[in-house]
Amino acid sequence: MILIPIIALLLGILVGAVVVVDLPIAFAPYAAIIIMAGLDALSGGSRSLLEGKFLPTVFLTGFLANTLLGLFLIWLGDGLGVALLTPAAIVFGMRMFTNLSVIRRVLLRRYEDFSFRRKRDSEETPEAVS
Amino acid sequence: MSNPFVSRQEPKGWVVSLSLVAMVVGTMGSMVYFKSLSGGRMDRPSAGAREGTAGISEENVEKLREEVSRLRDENQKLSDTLAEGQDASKDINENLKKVSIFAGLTEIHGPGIIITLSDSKKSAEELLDYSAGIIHDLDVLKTVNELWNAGAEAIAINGKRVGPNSNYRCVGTTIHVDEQKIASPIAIQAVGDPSVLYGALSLPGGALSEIKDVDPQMVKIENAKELLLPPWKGTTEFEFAKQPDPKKEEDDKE
Repeated sequence: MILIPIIALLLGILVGAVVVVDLPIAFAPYAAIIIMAGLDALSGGSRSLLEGKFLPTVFLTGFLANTLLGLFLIWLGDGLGVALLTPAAIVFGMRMFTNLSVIRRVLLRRYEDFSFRRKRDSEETPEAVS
Repeated sequence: MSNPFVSRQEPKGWVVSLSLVAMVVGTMGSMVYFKSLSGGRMDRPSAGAREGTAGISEENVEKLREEVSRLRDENQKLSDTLAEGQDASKDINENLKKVSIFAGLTEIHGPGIIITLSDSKKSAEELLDYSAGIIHDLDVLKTVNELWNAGAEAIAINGKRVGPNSNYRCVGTTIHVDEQKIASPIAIQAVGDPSVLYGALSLPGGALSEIKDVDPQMVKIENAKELLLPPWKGTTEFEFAKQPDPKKEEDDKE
């Protein structure tokens, strides 16, 4: 199951590499913010998945809303002549790091639980045999 | 419980939504990545807007140029006929000839070298900076400067003579020398001591070493036993500059 999103990611990379679209250079910050929002959503999604409280509607609306806000900020920044990509990128980046730390803790805890249980089980089984 | 990383309560619908976002990220990412590698040319600000300098069209310039050379020929004829009769004006005429040779107003022939600068044929990926593989106005200017410095007596670029107030500009994708468009390959002919000129231009760290570092194929220097350079066709009319005291100046000459 975990493989399907990874395959989708690779498929996306393939599509992007094969399809030749003439991107104007002005589009670069918009693409950047979409990528940042997507990575943020992916890390947040994995986190909530591991915490067992993943909701598809929350996930997708979160991704859409973040992307739209980011695009709006960049558009506004273009108009004002201020690089508003930076604050959006910083926030997305911070969220990614936070999510990663939570994911790390959850996985570590699970692994510790698992090894503890296995140890306990292996200690219990010899008694049962004898 | 064999896999420690499997969650006990599996939320529904995560595969589809995560895959969706992952695909968006992948597509955008690779699109931007491959785009920036292949075609992402960031041109330096185009100077195309300045092309029509002061509203003078190119045809007009060409016409004026022809007229200038015609009038100059007539002038030469007149001074020749003048000189035929009188001895005194012969001296003046000779002087005039010297001056016009110095100013580049006459045809000139002699030994020298031909430098050919051409755009690199390497691909943009090989060059890292594609702009480095192009001959710019500054390269031409540096070469000409180096040639003067090495004792060149007359220089022509792509068959157009360089005069006292020749200028070099970057206009869009072409270089203008005296408002005349030139493009790669640029042949610079210089009359002077061939070995000295050759040495000056192949100096390590010299004017052309920067281009040679990018691609040695961009520079070609050949010796020439006999070069024939056309006269300079720029204007010699001065509007503001005037001689302080013409009489005194003439006295000095004699």
